[in-house]
Amino acid sequence: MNGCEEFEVHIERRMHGALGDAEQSRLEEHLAGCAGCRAYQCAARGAEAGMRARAGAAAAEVDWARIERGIRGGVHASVRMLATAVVTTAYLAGMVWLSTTPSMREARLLRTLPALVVLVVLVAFVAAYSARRLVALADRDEMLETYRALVAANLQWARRMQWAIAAIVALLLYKALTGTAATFDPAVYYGGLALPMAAIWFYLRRVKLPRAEREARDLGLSARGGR
Amino acid sequence: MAGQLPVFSSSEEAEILAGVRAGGAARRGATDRLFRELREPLLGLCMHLTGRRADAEDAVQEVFVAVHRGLPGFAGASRLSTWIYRIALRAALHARARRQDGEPLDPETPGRGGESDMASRDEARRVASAMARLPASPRAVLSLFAVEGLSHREIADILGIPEGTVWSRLHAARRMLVGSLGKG
Repeated sequence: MNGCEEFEVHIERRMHGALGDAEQSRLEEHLAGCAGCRAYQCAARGAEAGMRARAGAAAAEVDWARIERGIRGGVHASVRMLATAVVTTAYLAGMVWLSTTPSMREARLLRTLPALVVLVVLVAFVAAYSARRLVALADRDEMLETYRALVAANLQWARRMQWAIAAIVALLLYKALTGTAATFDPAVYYGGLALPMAAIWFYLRRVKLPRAEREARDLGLSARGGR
Repeated sequence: MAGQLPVFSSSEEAEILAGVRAGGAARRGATDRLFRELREPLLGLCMHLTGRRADAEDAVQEVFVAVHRGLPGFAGASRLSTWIYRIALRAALHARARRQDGEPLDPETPGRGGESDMASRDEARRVASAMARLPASPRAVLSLFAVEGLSHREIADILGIPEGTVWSRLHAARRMLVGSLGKG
């Protein structure tokens, strides 16, 4: 600490129009005799001017019409997510149908129906959460602290999930290769289930987890997700 | 001017919210107004937080999608602009995390001006690189203060910290930036 901290804070306050007259005079007096504070003031002004110039230049180059189109598309993202859920459900229903011996198909499909409905409801829930994700913290105080806690929790969750999903994929593949059943083809049924699970694992491992780790690092969390 | 924060009065905020709740054309008018008035300062904030224009554009888009969805449920616990800036902070940090490690920041914009313009562009790029090396928290404080027209009271509100704390956070962040500029 060089004893100039108070004046450096005054410099910031003055730059942002929040320094009283008496403090301004004291600051001027101090600046006249302190090269360090003059350098600080110069660096602070230069940095802020540079940031504003960059923002201004960027704003002039942005294609706002493209962003508006993106916003209109984004508003309907939940609908797209639900459509994906319906397609996935149809894929799973088709897989059940194809893997089952013809005489048992309807009965087996009816038995599977509740699980498929649960899947769609689950995706609807995720879509609703994802629509509220950004807004959720906007009412909180100490927003960055809350965000940090949330990112740490997400990171832990993603790490656990990758192993859980990997185990499920391994189990499904094992059943696909070794399973026997009289009414359906285990290779098609379990193999068909393993495929979307493997895609989810891949997404988690290659996209979600690295992103959560980068976010955690940026927020000053350790590699394990703690402080 | 780019980066200038529009100051919505309480009655203007109420007007916008009423438009949103009315639905239909009134809602479209209200959200269009928010977009027109806030897009540039939000882009500036997101630029400083993400370090790259493409990421900032993505973040701005996400902010307005979230605002569009969240506005009908906006409880009014804070100013509308405060609420939107909080959403922007999170969207920008999230957009930055989508970028792979080592991906470059924006390339130099081709210059149209003379030597002084080139010098200021160089300075702006140097500051942007130094900002990119800072953790999220100081970056957020410096970025908010770089948005013209945003008062320290509103910045304190956005960050959810006491007014007095905002100056010490800014000072600490500036010291880190100066240190980072030295390393660049």
